[in-house]
Amino acid sequence: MMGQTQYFDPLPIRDIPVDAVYHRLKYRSEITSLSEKQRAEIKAAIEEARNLLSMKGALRRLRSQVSEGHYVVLETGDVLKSDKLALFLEGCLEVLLLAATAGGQITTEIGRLMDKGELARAAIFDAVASETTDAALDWLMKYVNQIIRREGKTLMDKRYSPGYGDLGLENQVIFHRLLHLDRIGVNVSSRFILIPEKSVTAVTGITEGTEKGRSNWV
Amino acid sequence: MGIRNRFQKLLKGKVLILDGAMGTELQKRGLPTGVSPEVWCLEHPEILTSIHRSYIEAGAQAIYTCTFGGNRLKLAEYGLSAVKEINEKLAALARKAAGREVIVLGDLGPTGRFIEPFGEIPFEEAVAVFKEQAEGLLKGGVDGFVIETMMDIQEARAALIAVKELGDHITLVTMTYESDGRTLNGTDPISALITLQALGADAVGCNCSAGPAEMVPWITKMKPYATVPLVAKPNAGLPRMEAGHTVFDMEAEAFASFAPHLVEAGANILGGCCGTTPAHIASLKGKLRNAEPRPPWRKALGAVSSHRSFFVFEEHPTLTVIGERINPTGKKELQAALREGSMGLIRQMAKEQEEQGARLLDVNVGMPGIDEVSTLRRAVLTLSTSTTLPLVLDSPNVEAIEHALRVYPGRAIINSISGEREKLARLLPVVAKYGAMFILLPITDGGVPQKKEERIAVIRSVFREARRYGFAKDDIVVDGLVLTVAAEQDAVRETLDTIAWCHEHFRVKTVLGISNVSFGLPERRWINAAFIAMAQREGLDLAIINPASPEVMAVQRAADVLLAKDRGAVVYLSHFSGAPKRAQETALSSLHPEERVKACILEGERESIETAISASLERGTNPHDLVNNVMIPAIVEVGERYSRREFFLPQLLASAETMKKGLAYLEPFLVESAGERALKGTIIMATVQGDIHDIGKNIVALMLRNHGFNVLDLGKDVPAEKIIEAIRKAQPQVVGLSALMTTTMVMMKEVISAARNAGLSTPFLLGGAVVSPAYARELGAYYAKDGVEAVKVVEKLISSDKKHE
Repeated sequence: MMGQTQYFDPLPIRDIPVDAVYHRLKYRSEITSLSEKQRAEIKAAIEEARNLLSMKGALRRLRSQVSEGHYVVLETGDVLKSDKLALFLEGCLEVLLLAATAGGQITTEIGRLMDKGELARAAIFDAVASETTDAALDWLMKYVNQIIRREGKTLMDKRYSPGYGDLGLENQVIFHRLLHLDRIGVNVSSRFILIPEKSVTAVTGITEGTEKGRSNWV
Repeated sequence: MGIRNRFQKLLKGKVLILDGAMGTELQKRGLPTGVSPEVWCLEHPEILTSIHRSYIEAGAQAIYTCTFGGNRLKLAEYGLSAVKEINEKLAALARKAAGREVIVLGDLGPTGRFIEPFGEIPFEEAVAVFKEQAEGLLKGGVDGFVIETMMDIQEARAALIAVKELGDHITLVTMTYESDGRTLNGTDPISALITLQALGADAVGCNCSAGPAEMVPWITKMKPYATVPLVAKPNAGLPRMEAGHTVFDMEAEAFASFAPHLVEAGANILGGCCGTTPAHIASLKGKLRNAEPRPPWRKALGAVSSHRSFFVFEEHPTLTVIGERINPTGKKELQAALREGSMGLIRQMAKEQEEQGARLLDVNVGMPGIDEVSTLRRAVLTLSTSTTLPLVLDSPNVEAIEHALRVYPGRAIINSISGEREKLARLLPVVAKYGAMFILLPITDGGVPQKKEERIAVIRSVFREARRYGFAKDDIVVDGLVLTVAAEQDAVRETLDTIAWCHEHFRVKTVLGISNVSFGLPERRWINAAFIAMAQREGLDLAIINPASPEVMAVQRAADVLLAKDRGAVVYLSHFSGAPKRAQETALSSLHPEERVKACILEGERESIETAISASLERGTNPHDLVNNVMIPAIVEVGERYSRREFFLPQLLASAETMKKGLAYLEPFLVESAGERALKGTIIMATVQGDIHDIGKNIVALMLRNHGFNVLDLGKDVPAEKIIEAIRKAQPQVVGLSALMTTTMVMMKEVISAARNAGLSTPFLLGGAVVSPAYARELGAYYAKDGVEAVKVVEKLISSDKKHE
């Protein structure tokens, strides 16, 4: 796994994270009340959304070092500029770059539903796609942890994505290039937006042991 | 003494002790990062030998070769390709260290890839990869194999098939489970056990990922279903940092203290994984000196599995429904789909049958004009990822059955094996190889036996033959043979008597293809329903039926109650009484027309709103009164329920869509009665430049329109200049900006600054997941966390604006 990009096409994520989908839609189990008919409709919509997902993923392990407290320098020579990321990865000699996508079909369908004014279904589809893409990153991290455990290593249990904290969105270009995301059908626009929309990249650190006290996640 | 005898002797009355971790021991002795452990060990054979010896001296009765990453795919990551040679040499080193007394198991670890249908690696490529490695290990002198740390049941199967095709070698298989007790692919320990023990594993269990405490419940769960010894090889807790070194937090004594619990749970073979040392193994041995392990009490198990679930027949006294719909006979749409090679309809049929109550799925793709071998294989792979139900593979084509069984990531039932000599001779070894169950069809080369006694003779004969291949009664289901009552009315009695004999005397499970009985008759459902109840009375266990038939499904559930198979009518009540209804849910039709309009909006009944409004207007209700006194209060109440989380987003939006539809329907009546409905104000909405997330903005726009505002939606990724131009042109009362990322929310500042610099004093309302009230205040703007709040803020802004006018 060292240095090479590994692809998952398909990414065998087990289940739609239904609880997370409901939570994202502001469902609160002790309070929110649903009729049987509504419950059945929502379940059917989630299932329909699931059938539109085409989950794929990529990951790559790279040596890294933090420089001047502001930069994370990768073995490829690429530099990620972010104070918070640098603090987060201090002490890590390697990073893991990750990406996941739900594919383009579901984004197209969400757009179509919004154009038709079917916002309820669009919101459900959007929640399914977003939560499953996020869950795909969780899956990739669990997968890597299985493998690096034998080296006495573990991943940090948080991750950073371009566009959040002070890690600029322009870094998507670096992720896209280093992971060759076109291999899984993901491109990056001139405005650094990943296409299809329900795609996400992230970086986390590989540590010796489980120094997991860090909570610098933003 | 042969290795198999030695293995069994070691397990007799005692726990077999395995070795501990290799990886962490190598690291302590200088294995650097980024180097192949296998090759490093060949460069430092004395280190490897000393580790093997230290485990043997600590008490290990079996050691693993240092070949965890010794397969072609893993070695290629280091640019290595001499797979057989590397494995042979490492096996030879282990053999030398072990001498003749200690068992050497060739270690086959995961490739790191996923195998079809869960990944891109073709199944046969995976088998070839493991076969290549295993050949090298055999040449180096291993006694058997261990397939370990498997996260993918399909990969475990590929490895096991690879080993078994090289000979009858002792093979242990251990999977690695996450903290929720399933593999990364979703396989639970019992499904894995049923699949692997049927496929020929000599011991099954778990290793890595967890400490000994976590493994106790997994072993406990597996034990009642095990026909083979169980293995537990836990980690020494979790790794942590101490003075710059990695240590595992469970010391030897603490680790060993769990050994009696694992033995009590049912483990027969114990060792250690990551972080364990010779000291751990020595402590383990000491703790187990007087341990009395429980051998497997079963010789056979009547159970099937998919990669995500299992079905044990003895645990289900009620009738087991096998869904019959995946069968192209008489189904033009399915025939067309199969000809095109499309699997979408099969997926859909599987889901529907699962929802309708099928517990297993019969899969039949036999029809003229297609390649049944490749089609059945594809269907099985497709269904493996789209349903959790175990499969019944239905085909008279032996080659199709073989190819499908090879790739099915579970334990299937074959439909069927009959007394026809040639098919019997070809099918039995195939089904035995892959460990499937089978349906025994009591027909012969001479045709269909008419009488019960003739059928019994065939059943006995086929079973005798099957026993030669290791089948037990638990592994078979007898088909009572259903003939069409329209052609052979007396045949029904023979079928029922055959079922009764199998149930009372032969003590074997039975199945019937129910719908065959009614072929050619009208209103087939009644014949099918009556027949199934009669068969259940005789002891029928499984039925191949269409679960979409409400009559048949209802009668079979009722029969289970009458026959006391469904104790307390639990299944029956659960099906027919349904979930508790939500309070206040009232039939719309019973409501007063205005109440009906209100209820439509509250319940999000888009389909009924127009009818409800029409009924209200017919009663003479003024349309403006309907809007102002019924509909708007209703949508306000929806907003309040949403704020209290009594409603969640889909309900809010369904209500908003219903409101929108209702207003659109009312529009001509409103104009007719008193001119156009006065809009409360104009709002411009936009997602800022660089951001393409707009669903939140669209929800706010809908809510504002519902409440009588004119909304100009500029869309997403909107440059500041375009927003300024729109403000100048439309003179809105409020401008709403949305951003979902911390790096794009800064554009909100740019837009507001540009507006102020242009002399525009329009208030701004900000929203989005990363925006906060404090940020909005900092920019001199207002904030709303969702569409409901946005309406309140906008109404307040506009009404205070009017006061100042």
